[in-house]
Amino acid sequence: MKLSRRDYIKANAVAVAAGVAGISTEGAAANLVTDREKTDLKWSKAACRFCGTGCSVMVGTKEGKVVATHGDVKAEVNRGLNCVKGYFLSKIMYGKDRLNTPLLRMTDGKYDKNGEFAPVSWDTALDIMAEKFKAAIKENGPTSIGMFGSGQWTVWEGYAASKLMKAGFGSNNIEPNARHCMASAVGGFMRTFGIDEPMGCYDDIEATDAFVLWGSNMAEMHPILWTRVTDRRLSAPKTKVAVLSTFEHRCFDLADIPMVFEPQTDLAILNFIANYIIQNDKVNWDFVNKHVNFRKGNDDIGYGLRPEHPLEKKAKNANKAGGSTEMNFEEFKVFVADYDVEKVSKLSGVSKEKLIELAELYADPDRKVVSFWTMGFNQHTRGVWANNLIYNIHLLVGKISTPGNSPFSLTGQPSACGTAREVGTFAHRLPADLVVKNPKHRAIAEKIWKIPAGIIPPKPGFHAALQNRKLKDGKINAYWVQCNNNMQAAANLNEETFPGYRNPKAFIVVSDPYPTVTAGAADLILPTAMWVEKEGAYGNAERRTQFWHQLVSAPEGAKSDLWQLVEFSKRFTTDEVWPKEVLDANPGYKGKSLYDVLFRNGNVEKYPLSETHPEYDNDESNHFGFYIQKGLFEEYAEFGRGHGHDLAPFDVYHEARGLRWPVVDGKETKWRYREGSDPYVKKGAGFEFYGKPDGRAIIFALPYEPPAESPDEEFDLWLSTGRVLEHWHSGSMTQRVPELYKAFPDAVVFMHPKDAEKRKLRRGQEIKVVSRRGEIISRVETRGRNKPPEGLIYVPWFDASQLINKVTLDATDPISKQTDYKKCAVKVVPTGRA
Amino acid sequence: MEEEIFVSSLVAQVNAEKLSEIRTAIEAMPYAEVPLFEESGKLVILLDAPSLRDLVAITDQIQDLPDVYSVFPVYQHDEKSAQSEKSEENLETNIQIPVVEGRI
Repeated sequence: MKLSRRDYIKANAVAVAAGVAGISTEGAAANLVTDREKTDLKWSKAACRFCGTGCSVMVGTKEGKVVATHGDVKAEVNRGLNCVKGYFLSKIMYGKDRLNTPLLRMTDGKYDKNGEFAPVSWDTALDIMAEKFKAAIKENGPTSIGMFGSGQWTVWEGYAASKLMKAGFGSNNIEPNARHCMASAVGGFMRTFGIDEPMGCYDDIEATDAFVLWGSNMAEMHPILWTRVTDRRLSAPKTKVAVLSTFEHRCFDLADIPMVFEPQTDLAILNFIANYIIQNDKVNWDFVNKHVNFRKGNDDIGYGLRPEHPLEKKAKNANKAGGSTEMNFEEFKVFVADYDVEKVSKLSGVSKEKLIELAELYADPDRKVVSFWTMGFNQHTRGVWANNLIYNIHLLVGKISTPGNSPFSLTGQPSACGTAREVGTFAHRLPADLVVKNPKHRAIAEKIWKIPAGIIPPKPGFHAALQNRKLKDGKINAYWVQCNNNMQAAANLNEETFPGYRNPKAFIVVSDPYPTVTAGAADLILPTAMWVEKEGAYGNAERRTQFWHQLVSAPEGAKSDLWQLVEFSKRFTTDEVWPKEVLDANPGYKGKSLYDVLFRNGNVEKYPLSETHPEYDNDESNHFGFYIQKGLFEEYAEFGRGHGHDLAPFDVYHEARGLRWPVVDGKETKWRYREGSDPYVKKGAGFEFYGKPDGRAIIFALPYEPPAESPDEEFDLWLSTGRVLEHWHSGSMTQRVPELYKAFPDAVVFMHPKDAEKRKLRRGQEIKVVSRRGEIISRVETRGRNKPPEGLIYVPWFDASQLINKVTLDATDPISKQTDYKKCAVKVVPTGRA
Repeated sequence: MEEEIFVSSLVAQVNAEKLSEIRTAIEAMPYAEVPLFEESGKLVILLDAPSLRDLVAITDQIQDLPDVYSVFPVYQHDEKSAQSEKSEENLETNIQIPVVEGRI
């Protein structure tokens, strides 16, 4: 029997599915011949482009195009499964409106802020951009330029961007959109443990007896991890699932303890659990006595709004939000005693029975427990507190750093951890948890980067929300957005983002594969390569670093973010951007290009092209003449090796399905801070939270405080925004996949049927969602996957034709500076049309 | 003529007691077959359709069958001929750059 190529492809499709399902192929039809070579496809591994789960996918290419994908059976994270977004991953690169030429706003052939977009060459584009950046630095100093990047940058893109801004331009005004997503988690980790990122890993899922979801709709946002949670729940019947949210969502289907609570009262529930543990004598004293300190955090810390806002003027500690003072256990006990079950039940709207049932999951010494959270905790004006308070609970009972006992912050972006956080693309950070304000940390960075002292400014730059305010105020004059869609993503678009981008004093550059609304508000658009059109690396939520090769070329005319950053650096000399006194003290650096200083510094160009993989293209390395990704990675890895952030040698990652750092002596670390599992814990210590000088984690006394804005007589509903399964973030990729677009084409307003009835609205009717800041037009949905309680609506933000961030408030957590997208006051009114 | 390929494999979990009926129902659908299954209610479904639209429609139909608990896509193959890609491109208009209406 002669088999066709189609037969081989079909046989391969069946074999992969059988592997995923764990079904034996023995005795199957005789034509199940799984010779992958005969499919005429080249198969390679890559990390998924979407969320922070970090699934590995197998990518099949033919004649320079990705034509097939399937989940990677060899990957520990997803074990061959994909969610619906991952399933259609191959199509994100083939939207019909891929950009392939730089576009500049022009009138009569010259740049004009009010002109129309017209194609220009890359040279023209980078030249005008350099002119604007130089003019800004010359007139107003390095704080007048800025960059907004992403947890979707590859590791080396984020590293190159951070280095260009901090070591090249001497500006700390670089931020990732991870500020909108993970900053409160970072703040929580740094405050409690002194080191960022989770101590546990996904292996905790199969080892635990209880899951508690705090403001996390894993079923839609992390579906592959949710599959693992579901499998655990169904295969180990003793396992319990508790789901807390301000509205009912798909995770409630599996919940043993479902809880819908009044927005913001999670803080009180968390304190109640700590109180319950203490009152019922369930404190793990051995653990607490050896490994924990107690501190009282400053309260009344404001809402991260503009300083002239009445709420900020009123707040006692708006400028000392992160401050704290010592306290002891007895004082902590008195502090949380205020959060008894009666009071917290009344405040939160959750029954006393359910609160106690929840507290028991943590208090019961015979039960292991994993807490998962995402944006419900992080996008919260008290997000850092919420993170601190969940650690309080795990620490009080010592349920941490052991298999199945894990407070676990999930991430929303593929490299929020690997790039944004670990590389340090925040306004206050440097690689490997170093910070700009610490002179010793700056000295380490200057040494590794081979730049003179005095280039990296000690003062943190403008954080994400502040960047938009500074654009509006004319204080940032040249601004570069890469790898994100912040016009759609940032809160309070009408009052801050849009007037900022369109301020005549600002020149805005947006790099993107597609014409997003952010690109539409820019002055210059740079067409950008994406995903497997370049060699890349991402780091997922469990500290797993994953690599992929360039598998196809970008459309002609599109260039990777890395290419853009490094080419841009060639247009500047040290004399143009470095302080005169630094150059006078270090004359050897005079007259050099930033390209020479940053990317031909003896580190980055160290690895020759001969070290690139012979079977894969590498467009950037070929362009620059050296293995640039390897040079950048190895230089970056120097920051963390020997300091608890050890990464393996570059080439190892091209072979492995990712490794969880610290990777010491070739071994990854699954659970940090525990002796025997983490090589950094001293012998005999048992546990050691070595991010703190005395090895002790901190339990913080922090109160419930009200949100920045609550419903009132006129604006009588809570608004929570978020995502849906089919679309990822602003939808700039998934909305271009026809199957995903059709599955959920337009955003809708999820509303309780009684709220609709009270307003005389019927399902599907056109309505306006209105706040004090703006409005959008949408349609009512009273059924379906999300079921809000009376008094709250839920609106997804993926839809560029319904920009819900015209409505939201840009209140932030004063410690993390992360925006609260889950709470503001709105009203819903009919438009009068059907 | 260049080959066009729209192949997909799915893993389904169904009510084990209804396995036989469900297999028959899937096999009766155009472009679908069930090459592997387990008595516990797990099925591997193979789809080989003439167009992407058919592929998606069949997947939806399978999901909508009674007693089908879950359908997980595993393998996805979408290989259009150069000719059909070109005809699709011809339908596209120029790139539209979205405009945000806002206050300055």
